Amino acid sequence: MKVNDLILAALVILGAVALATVSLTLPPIPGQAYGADVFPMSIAVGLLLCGWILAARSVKGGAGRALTLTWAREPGAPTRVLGTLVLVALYIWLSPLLGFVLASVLMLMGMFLLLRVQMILAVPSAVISSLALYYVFAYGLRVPLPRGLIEGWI
Amino acid sequence: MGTFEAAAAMVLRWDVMITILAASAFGMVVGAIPGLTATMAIALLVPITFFMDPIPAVGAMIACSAMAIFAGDIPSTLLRMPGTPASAAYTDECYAMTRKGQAETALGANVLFSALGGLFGTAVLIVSAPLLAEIALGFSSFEYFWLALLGLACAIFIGTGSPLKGMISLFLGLFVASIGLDNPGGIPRFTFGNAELMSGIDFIPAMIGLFAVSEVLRSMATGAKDWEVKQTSIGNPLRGWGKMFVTWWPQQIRGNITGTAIGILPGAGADIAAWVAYAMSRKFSKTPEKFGTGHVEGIIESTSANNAALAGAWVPALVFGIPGDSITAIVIGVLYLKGLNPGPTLFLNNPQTIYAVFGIFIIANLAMIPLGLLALKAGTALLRVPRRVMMPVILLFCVVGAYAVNNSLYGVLLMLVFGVLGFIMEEHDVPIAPCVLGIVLGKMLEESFVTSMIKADGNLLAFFERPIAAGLGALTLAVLLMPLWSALGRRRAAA
Repeated sequence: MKVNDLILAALVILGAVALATVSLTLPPIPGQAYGADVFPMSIAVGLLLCGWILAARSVKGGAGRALTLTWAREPGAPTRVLGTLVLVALYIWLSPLLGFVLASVLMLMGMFLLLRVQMILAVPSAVISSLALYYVFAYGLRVPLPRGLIEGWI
Repeated sequence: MGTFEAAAAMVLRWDVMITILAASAFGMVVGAIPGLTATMAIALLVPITFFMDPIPAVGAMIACSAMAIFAGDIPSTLLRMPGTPASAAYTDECYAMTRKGQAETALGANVLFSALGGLFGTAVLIVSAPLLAEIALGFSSFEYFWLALLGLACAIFIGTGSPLKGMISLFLGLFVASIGLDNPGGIPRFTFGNAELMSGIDFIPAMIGLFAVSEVLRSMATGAKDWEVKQTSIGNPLRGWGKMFVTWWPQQIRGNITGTAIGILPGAGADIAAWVAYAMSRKFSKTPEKFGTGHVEGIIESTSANNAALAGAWVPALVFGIPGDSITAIVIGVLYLKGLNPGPTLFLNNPQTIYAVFGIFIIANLAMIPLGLLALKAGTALLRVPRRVMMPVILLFCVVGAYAVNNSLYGVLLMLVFGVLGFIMEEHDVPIAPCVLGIVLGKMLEESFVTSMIKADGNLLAFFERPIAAGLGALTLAVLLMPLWSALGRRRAAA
């Protein structure tokens, strides 16, 4: 799923203007002409130029359709991509409450469901990989992975 | 104890050897899976290297990247799908050999010449890095400014198909680098009152997001369909090694030199080296008509080049702290974390560490021959693991890795944001590598520019007053202006 170069250029120009606006508010180093604003301001000018050239090029060469669906045309594809993002967000929210193992099993099962993996393969894959990563990182590498309902038992 | 003995004592330890072995295996797995790049292997490896001593950590990254670049040739040959972009240049040639029933010859050539290419690049690294470090000791902010700019210019104009989109990607990376307190004014920039953003954007979760999560999202978009393995058993890959070595030695040497040179160039790495070497091989071949029909000549030259480039990329990384490619961009981040700040002073203060790194390069490339032969067997089995199971597990690995950087869920959130950004960028043909180099080099570029301007009292000509700075400046401007020149030339020719 992609927008055409003209819309991309408009987004780049918009970003450049926003960056320049915020850069202008950065205070200078007292007694110096070059402070914290020089670098972001140069980036903003650079982005503005790039956006301008991209826009000019796409107007000249014909911008094409505003939105091309590519992979999103396939049934279920948008759900799979958005579902994955939601599952990671859920993991961020739930792992302090449930602990690493349960939260990661939930995330993996969600993704397997999105990809229509059979239960007989999905359940052991989710459980074994969650436990394996827990043991490697929590015990092997001493990473304090979030502890919750079952980590005290394993 | 002398420097060499100290270096040998640092390398010849069982834990270093086991780490090299394990990292090679990891690199093999990631490299052999189409779509997963060597850079991604390194990004995923970083959280694990946090818990290692500096030498095993660096060893792991060298071994992992070398193996991943080679292993990328396995699916290239068997599936016509490059395992890493560095194999893309000669994928069709390898697959044509498979169709002729010569998969083992192609894979055998890949193992042998990858290892030899890596060793050649290492030799150049060993000879040139200390010499360059001597010169670099005299560098000031002016030279570092030009070096950083040269790296970024090469990444845009040599490393990408569309320089304009490459530049947008670069500015995005520079913007990310500008977030936080660490700037000439020491004031919070673009932090919007968020305490986490004060220390800037953590590099590792950003890399995991840009390289790994974006790939997982892409395969979720296409339903993570399984690969169709055409040839499941391969014969003896050792057959014909002697003959290939004797027949194609000029091609091999030329590939090694091309690869190392492109690797040393800041911002261009193994994938570009392979493309250039393949094109050169065809141009200078006595039988160019055989190219594309399953002819081993081009494979030898380009597979030598991509592994040679890997070692070459470490030259600017170690000597100047300027990444030669996106892999060394990550490596530089790790070197800082381990207190081995790259730069010429590392050669003065810590020569034993430098020699230990050289030693690991030699071991990793020598080990690639036996490990590579094993990998050929394992790689074909790996391609039969259902992708629908593999991709979610890789995402979980990313989540744990991003968390482990600071033991905080903020890392996971950053990873997710950069994952979406990487996915959207690739959808719109905006290359990721310039963005990564921008993130890594942003601070150096800003610091050297502002310091130089304060030193020179705003006089821009001061950037050309020192001889080396003037030379580097002229080179950078040439790289920047070359596309403009050729575009003007084309327009004139068309008129």
